[in-house]
Amino acid sequence: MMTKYTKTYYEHVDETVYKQVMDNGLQVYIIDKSGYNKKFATYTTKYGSTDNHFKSGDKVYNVPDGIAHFLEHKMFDKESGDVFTKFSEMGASANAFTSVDRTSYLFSATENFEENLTLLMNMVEIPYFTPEKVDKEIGIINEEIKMYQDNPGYRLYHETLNSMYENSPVAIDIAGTLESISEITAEHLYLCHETFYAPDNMVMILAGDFDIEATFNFIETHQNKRPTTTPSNIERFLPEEPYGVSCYNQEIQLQVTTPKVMLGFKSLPDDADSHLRSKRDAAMLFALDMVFGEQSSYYEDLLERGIIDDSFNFSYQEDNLVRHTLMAVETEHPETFTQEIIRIIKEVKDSDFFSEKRLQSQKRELLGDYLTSLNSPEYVANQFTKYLFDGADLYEVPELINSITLDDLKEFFNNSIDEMNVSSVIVKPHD
Amino acid sequence: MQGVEKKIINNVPIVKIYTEKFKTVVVSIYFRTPLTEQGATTRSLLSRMMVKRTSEHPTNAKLLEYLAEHYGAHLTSNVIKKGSDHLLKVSIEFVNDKFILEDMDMLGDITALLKDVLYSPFSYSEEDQAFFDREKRLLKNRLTSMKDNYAQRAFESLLETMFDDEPYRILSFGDIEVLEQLTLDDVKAAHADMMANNDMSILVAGKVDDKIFDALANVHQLEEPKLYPYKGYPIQAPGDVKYKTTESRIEQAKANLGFRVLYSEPGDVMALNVFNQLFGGSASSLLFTNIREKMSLAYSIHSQVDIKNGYLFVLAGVDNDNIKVFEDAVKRELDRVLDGDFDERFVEEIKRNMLSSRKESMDKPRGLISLNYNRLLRDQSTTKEVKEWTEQLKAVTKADIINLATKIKLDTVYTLKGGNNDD
Repeated sequence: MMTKYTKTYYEHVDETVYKQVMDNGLQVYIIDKSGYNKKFATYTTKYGSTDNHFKSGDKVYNVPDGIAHFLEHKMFDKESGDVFTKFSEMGASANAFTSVDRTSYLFSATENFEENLTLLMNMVEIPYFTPEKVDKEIGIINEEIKMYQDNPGYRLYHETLNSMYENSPVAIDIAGTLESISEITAEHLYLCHETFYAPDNMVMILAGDFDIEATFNFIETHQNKRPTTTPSNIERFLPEEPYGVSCYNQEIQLQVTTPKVMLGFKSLPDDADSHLRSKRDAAMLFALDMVFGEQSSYYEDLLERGIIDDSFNFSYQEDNLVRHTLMAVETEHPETFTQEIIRIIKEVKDSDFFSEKRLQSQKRELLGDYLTSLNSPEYVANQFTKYLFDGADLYEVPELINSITLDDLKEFFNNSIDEMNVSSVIVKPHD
Repeated sequence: MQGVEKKIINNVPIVKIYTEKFKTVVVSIYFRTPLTEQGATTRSLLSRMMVKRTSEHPTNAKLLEYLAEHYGAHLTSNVIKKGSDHLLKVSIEFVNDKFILEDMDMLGDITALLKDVLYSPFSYSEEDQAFFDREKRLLKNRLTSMKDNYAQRAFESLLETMFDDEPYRILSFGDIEVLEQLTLDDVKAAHADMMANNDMSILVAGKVDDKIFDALANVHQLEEPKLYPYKGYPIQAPGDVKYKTTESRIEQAKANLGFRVLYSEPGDVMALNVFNQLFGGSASSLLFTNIREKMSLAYSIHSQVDIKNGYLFVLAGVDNDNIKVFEDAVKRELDRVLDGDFDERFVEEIKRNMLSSRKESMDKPRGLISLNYNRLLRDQSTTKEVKEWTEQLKAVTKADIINLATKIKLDTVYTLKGGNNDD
């Protein structure tokens, strides 16, 4: 019999990946982790907190903020009881998370893998919502939202997104707001489940020590028993986002001891393809690290002068929804911090700052970090999904890293950070 | 293809854990000594300084550059409370030879670096005063900002209330007031004492051959064996329950309960382990399902134990108005265990899950190391034949758990309460 799956061996990282697309459109990948005790499964839909305005069939829908996360919570709650408990009874530990562009359900187990996988598939594929259960969930999520409100780090991050983005749904809290979730009904949940949990909008990743053939067959048998669906045709609407930040300066008071500041440099997504986006992402990591990393003279200077401490961190994020650079620190001198960061950015742009020797060791360092991460089946399954949704391949990261040149660093740094288009948010102790 | 081999070379135990499943190798060096307030703070600062610069790489930038060239080898240090001891641990993780494209003696370079890291504080002089001042300031910032995490702050306050004048009150990373008084000489003295008198062990996990023993034996030698027994604090029954409440401007209150377990027989230790998972240590536990899911009394709730010392903590985020109701609900769940109102099947499920997470921890280099470190401590603390962890776990019955529950006594209730919310 011909096998229906394909095998890819990535020699430079010593990893093997098997793939089969089921008849209903569901993509399944098995990542071989021989010798591991644990087997890990993720079942992910391309549906996140930003998918609030969409067209399915020929109707256009607007649904309340926070619904993807709400749905994630409710998927565990079935007529026969809490599915978490059932996973636990079968020796597995289950979890789920919602991000801006996806919702993932996962479990890990060292025994009863197939029983647990069936449980996961049934849980995610068969919806069950009632008005009573929806009402009760509103209470639970209210507490979750409140808990995040007490977390200064989360508030700072969220307020920065809000200050940068005027209309983009990325600024919406993943859990929604106390008001928005109170509008959620069982009908909304059924609609979103039917639309976004269609097999061809989902991906399953298994990582561990598997019998490949038997595992694919097992999943295929299950998938073939599901009711047939027509190919989904989802259109997502994103509001127009202006270039400029929505708000330059924001201050909030919370119960903190040291002020915290975050700067968000906004630069909108352009028409770059996923390859260029991934490349820019890695090149910006190198550039920012060369300018602001612990071994840079700028870092040393700011640290000596007491403007930053080792809480200082920075990141560049780019995907089809956002493109920005964030910098944060806990400091008694938030205004000086902002001035200094902007001064340094200008100085770097006006000089020949980046060094080839440093780039070479950064490449080795990133490669080492990447290889270290591949020890973790959780990391592999989650990142594999992320790259896949973005049209890229996790195991091609080393080639991507190698292809980056010093000119890339200069160009991307100059074009991706606009020091005049920045939001500053400060969390201060109460007066 | 996994094997553990131990050799004692120059009075230092070296444990090699061979496995081919990882892409990296991890080496951890442990220094163990009794916990004191001054010691914890000094060693916390020392542990930070040790991985920031060395004699061979005299600035942080140079050290980081050297690590980057070695494929981003991760050099870390931390301090841990364990039993009645304080551990200072230095670890390094580096990639397997097979992924290295250049001609490089990774193992030789890494072991030389470890020796350099361990010996550098001997050469700290007045010239290092600025470095010392800076690391002191950074540690102080870290200790201060930890208090901005309300759950962490509440837990620290619980420990302070519950262990008023007992050393367990001390946090592994030290105390701000003690830190303020420290000098560079204190750090040098703590380092010299550590190198001469601490119980030291070296563990390595990954795809390494026997050359590793000689390479690691070269990192440090001890004049005489320092293999101290590993023990907890003496069992102490609580008096009247201590109540303490602090008000703060937060949305959600943090309610923490501290219990002492009056261990009286050897089987109690594993029974407490199982009890904790069953009571509040997992998502299928009594506290989670009854208090969070059924009664919606808490958003976050869990229990944790210090198994060596027999301390149990219940930590939760609850509504400001529900604190008393919450406390009663926790007591009711404890009564439920005492009354035997839980299934044998549930006990077996909990045990299976514990076994499973133990197997899972062996899928991580650091998990393998910490498991084998525990085994090392156990072996040097008793000459008696001790049953393997798995067998001890399998032996725990429902009756054992009920019996253990009779030995659990509430000591302290600490609440961080939300006050006026005008923001």
